[in-house]
Amino acid sequence: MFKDLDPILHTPLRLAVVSLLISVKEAEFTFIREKTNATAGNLSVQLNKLKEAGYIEIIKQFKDNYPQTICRITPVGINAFEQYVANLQSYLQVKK
Amino acid sequence: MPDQQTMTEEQSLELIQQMIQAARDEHNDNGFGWRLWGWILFIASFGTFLSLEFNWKGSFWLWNAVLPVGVVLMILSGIFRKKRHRNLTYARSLLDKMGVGFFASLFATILGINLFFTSEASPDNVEFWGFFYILYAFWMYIHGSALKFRPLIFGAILNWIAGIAMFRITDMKFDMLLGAMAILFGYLIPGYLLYFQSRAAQKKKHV
Repeated sequence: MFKDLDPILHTPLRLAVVSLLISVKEAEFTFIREKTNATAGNLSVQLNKLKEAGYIEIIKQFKDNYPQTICRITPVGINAFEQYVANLQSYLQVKK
Repeated sequence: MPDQQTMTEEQSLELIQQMIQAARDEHNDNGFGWRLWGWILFIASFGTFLSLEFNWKGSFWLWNAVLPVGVVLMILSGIFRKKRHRNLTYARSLLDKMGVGFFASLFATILGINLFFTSEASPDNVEFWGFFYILYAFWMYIHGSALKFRPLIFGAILNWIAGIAMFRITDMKFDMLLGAMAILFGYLIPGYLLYFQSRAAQKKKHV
């Protein structure tokens, strides 16, 4: 019996963001935008969705008079990502 | 990255691998610290050799002169690097903590040795107890900062101070008393705090 894939994670941009954040302690908005090739507007919307789900935390601050947005994955986000990968693997094994 | 709103399982897995790789690629070291300290230590070592060879004044002054220059340059480079840093990898975070611990231990040792030589008119050999406590402090600092556990970090600072002070204390009896205090506040109390914290967490799990 398969569990459905997490709909929060099963979209390209949100999955890309969480995959990036799982590998680092924290990352700036500009870094995520560059690595995902997303537009600033779209990325903001998707980051907020992840934040609402409790998967990431967003810290907005000022550095050298410039606004800076830092993102970090939360323990809830780590668990969701691990579960998502486990479900993916079980799907792929059945396909074989 | 696929543009559509949903992906196949294969695309998902490929995307995850691609992003994890992208985050890893960002971690690099331009070797600034190695180059800076390489020159500083080379100048201090070779300069001291020349000083001893040609009987110039003193033998340790060059070491004490160049090290603060290195520290200032490292602090400046750290501030500059933070301005440029856009992501913080786990490896970089740990390396930064180890760097702080290592340099704090190094300067505690230098300070202790200088204290010893200012107090002893004709020293035959350096008091060695301080070295052990400074080394322990380094180990405690790494653990404390990795666990984000302040009592251990405080304990490390206490052991660095105790280590420095031991270079100044000539009576072994008082070295041992100071050591016991540093162990009590630096090891035992944080150790018991960790124990109680762990027990509370276990209880929470079983509720």
